[in-house]
Amino acid sequence: MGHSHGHDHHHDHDHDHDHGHGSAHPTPEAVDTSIPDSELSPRDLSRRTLLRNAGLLGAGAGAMSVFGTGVGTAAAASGGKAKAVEDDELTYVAGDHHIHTQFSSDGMYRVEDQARRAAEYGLDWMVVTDHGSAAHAKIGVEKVNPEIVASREANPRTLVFQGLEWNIPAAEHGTVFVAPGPNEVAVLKEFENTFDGSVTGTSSGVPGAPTTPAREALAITGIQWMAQQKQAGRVQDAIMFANHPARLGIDSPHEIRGWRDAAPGIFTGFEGAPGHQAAQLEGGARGAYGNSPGAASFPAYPLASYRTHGGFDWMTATVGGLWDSLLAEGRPWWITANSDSHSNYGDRLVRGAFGPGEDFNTLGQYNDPIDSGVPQLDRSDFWPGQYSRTHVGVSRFGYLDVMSGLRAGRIWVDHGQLIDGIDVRLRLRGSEQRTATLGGVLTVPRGSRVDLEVTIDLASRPNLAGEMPRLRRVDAIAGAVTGLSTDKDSFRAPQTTVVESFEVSQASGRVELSMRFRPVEEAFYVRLRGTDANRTGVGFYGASVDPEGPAMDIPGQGSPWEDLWFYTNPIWVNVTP
Amino acid sequence: MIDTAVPAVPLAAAPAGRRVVGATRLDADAHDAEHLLADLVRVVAANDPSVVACTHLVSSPWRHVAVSVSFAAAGPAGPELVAGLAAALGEDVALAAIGPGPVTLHRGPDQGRRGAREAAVEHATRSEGKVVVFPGQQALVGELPLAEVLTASAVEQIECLSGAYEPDSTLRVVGGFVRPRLRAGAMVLHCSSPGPRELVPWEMENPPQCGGH
Repeated sequence: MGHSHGHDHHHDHDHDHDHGHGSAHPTPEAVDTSIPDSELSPRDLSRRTLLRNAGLLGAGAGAMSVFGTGVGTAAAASGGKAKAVEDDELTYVAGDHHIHTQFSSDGMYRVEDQARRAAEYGLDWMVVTDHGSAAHAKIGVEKVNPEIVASREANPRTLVFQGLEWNIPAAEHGTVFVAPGPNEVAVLKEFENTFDGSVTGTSSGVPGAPTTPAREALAITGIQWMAQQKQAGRVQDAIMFANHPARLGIDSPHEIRGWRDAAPGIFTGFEGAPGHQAAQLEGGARGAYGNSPGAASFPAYPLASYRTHGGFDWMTATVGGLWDSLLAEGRPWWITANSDSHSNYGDRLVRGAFGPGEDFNTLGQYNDPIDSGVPQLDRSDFWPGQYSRTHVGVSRFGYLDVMSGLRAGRIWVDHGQLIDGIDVRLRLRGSEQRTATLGGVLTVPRGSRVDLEVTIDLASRPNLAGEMPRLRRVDAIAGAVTGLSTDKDSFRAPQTTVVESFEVSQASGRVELSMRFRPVEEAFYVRLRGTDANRTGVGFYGASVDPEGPAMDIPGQGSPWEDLWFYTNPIWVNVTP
Repeated sequence: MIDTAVPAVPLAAAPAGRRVVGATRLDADAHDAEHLLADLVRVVAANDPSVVACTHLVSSPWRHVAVSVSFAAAGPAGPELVAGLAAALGEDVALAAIGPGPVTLHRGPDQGRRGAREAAVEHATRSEGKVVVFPGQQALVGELPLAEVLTASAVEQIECLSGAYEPDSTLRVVGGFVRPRLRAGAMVLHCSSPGPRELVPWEMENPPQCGGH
């Protein structure tokens, strides 16, 4: 019942856009004022308008700082409180909430290295998430802050958050970040000292061990503590995501549900796609997902869950799987895609040497990196924005707006710049106003007819591998909302399947897709994914659920640039009698 | 010393002519457990080409990595066997020996006995376990037809986790790292298929340990 029809909105570019490996292109098109509005892709035009409205483009903008002086005024870009958003005025800004620096024991870059590249590669927001550790809690969490503040001033068009990669007690890692403000360091530091698994010796969470329940409870207390800091006004906002959730099989379904339910709106999702997406290029497993079940793993996870599938985590890539089991409960749980950049494939920078008597634990950081002159090919990461993007819908450019967009689930993610942009809405048939977009809920009377309307701006220029990404297929995935699961360890949504596939034949411009649902009898949700269709396979629960899903990635095989997907977060339909 | 205090695991008999030993030091880490397994193999079956050695994720007293070995029945059995193992491996190792017949003997710390027995029973019934040593392992190098994998080694089944595969495919093994699994009574080698008629073992050697873990 789906159909697609093209509108020829192709945008020709006269400029020479060299996006090959290692090329320098310091000014993204959206902010390059030598490129007229008429030549921008719809997404970049939208971003440019947003930046212009924020006073970040045009005469003098390059020299001004909207942050005033000092940390405390940084949030001024948002005017204190995020504004309520109408779907029609959304602009999607791209970002990455999982980035390491020289303040991580396995990192190396300066904050400025990451921020500058993030800006070059088109990111609008980024989060510095160095690993929690004794050295970081004591030294790094404070020493990184002036670097972040300096980056905010040097890159006013990039929102740079300070965060933490939390060793969640008894579980995997998570991103934790707060809105900039006078207490950002103090709150992050207290959180790390009190709740980080490495700092407190509570990382391991073996099923059945006498220590495990208390450690799982410590994670919940940490989430609630952070909610209290926000409520008390110590920070304006705070948000968390689980990172690489299926990598080691140690994030059990009941832990994920526990984090979600610990405090409303604080722990709001997980990485749909992990970082380390360049690992295949150096012979490793995509996403560094090369493990097998261990003592701390949740016993019921299958072997397939220990690999990525089309670059995405098994929990997200499996139709009818863990993510869908959460969505079928009718509670928010959102996916993101990030770089997890520690040291980047093909980059020439290497760690600076320590002086006599120096080491990471005493300095709390590595010395500044130095240019080795040789591309380093034994590395697994991409730069922020080079491959993975988390696009967040906002109506205004600012820290609180991005956080509130993340919390609302106005998020879609892609790899390899597969598409320029996507607009998704569900509409009560015939109504102008009654629509909902990503993360939202459309409430309609029972028996109503609703339509899915999708507008996709296809890639308008080569991606950062120098190739023209080509979207070939879009799948709509839908499932009934069946209420809270009595089994907290469930990872199955038996009613969720691919309900429609749209072949995309057009190579450029704008594609519109639509789908009509049967009269609505019960609450449901719908989400989308799209692919270049280079690598597909039957989904984990069989062809009747997902006939052409992402294929399991095989260590050392293939290129991440030749297997590209985008995923959107869901839209729900609620039914009134 | 027939132990009747651990009823949670069903009785299992050793296959005819073989003995099965389970052992554990409650290791959380598979590498530590594999060291114990290497010691165990050296003590009971150093020159036995029929030896099968496994690691197991067992649940008692909490989830950890236990080990097991089966070998041709020879040398000491019963209490003499477990006493010899305890002397060789250390009294901190919990042991469970099955055979001859459905008789299980225990020795070592109480805390580990059930786990050792879980491992031994999983091995004896071939229901679970990752196989570290097995007959014909040395033959699985380079590229070889699947039919040869099944005739030259103790591997009985091939299962491809990345989808369907052609029976006349070739298995490509890099570095000699092959880890089949015991499952439902058979030794199964899980594979992935990177290309037409080509399989590689699913399990990776030295998976990346990054991100602070």
